[in-house]
Amino acid sequence: MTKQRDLRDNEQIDEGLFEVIKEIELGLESVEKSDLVYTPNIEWFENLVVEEKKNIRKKLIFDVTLFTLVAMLVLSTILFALYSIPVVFFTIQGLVTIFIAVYFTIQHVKQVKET
Amino acid sequence: MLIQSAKSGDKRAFATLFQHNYPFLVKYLIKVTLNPDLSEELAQETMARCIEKIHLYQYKSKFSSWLISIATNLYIDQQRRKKREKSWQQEEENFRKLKWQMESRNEEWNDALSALGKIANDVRIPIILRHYYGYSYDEIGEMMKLSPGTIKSRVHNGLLAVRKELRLNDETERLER
Repeated sequence: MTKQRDLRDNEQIDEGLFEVIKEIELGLESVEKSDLVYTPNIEWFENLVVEEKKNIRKKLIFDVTLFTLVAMLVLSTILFALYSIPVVFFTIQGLVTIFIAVYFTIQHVKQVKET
Repeated sequence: MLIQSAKSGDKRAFATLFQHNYPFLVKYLIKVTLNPDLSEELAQETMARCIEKIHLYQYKSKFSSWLISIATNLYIDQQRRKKREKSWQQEEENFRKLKWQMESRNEEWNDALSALGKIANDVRIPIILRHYYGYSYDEIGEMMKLSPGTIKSRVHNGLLAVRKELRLNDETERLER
């Protein structure tokens, strides 16, 4: 509140809005002073921390497992294509290379045109 | 000291930090959302996010400011997701409930709170942060991931909207008499 008043002193505020700010301040102060908030005991907060840490760990395990599975799937598909159907493997490699080259050329041309 | 211990995984330090900051956080959220139930829900989500991101806290601002910055972004994201289903009537119902809760405790309710409840969240938040908590436009911009200029214009336009609402309220009251 005091910080707020200091700021207001340093700032040019429309006279008409001064009353509005005062009203807002009064209203918010009544919320601040109300006893609407019940603070639970320290054990409740400790339980919250323990539960949340468990959730973070579960999420991490899930993410790492998913990443490993997807990586293995991609790698095995590539290896299978390379050793069993090399034609398909090299065709995909070629297409991807051409796509990347075309994509970046178009982006570069667009940027040059814009400037 | 507490923050350092919490960073190294001490659950008691975390719990103490949260217990100290809980009333400040929930009261900030009540002012912003005008909804006590949602505020408690968001406070829990904020603490959960804080446990996850504590390694990112760099002591640049107060811990309480960092907490309300997380809470503000959680609330904005939640409102964005709910935008389609939310209606103006629902918002009005929320602050009517707060009004009723405060009045039943013999606490004062002023029209500025009703007027704040009628303006958009992304305008209400910077007004509260600026004119109640005293944060600078730069600090609010950092919290809300917006430029200080945008914050300044939102605060100014928001104050004009609140003034308009207050005048409307006055006129309605005069007509009712």
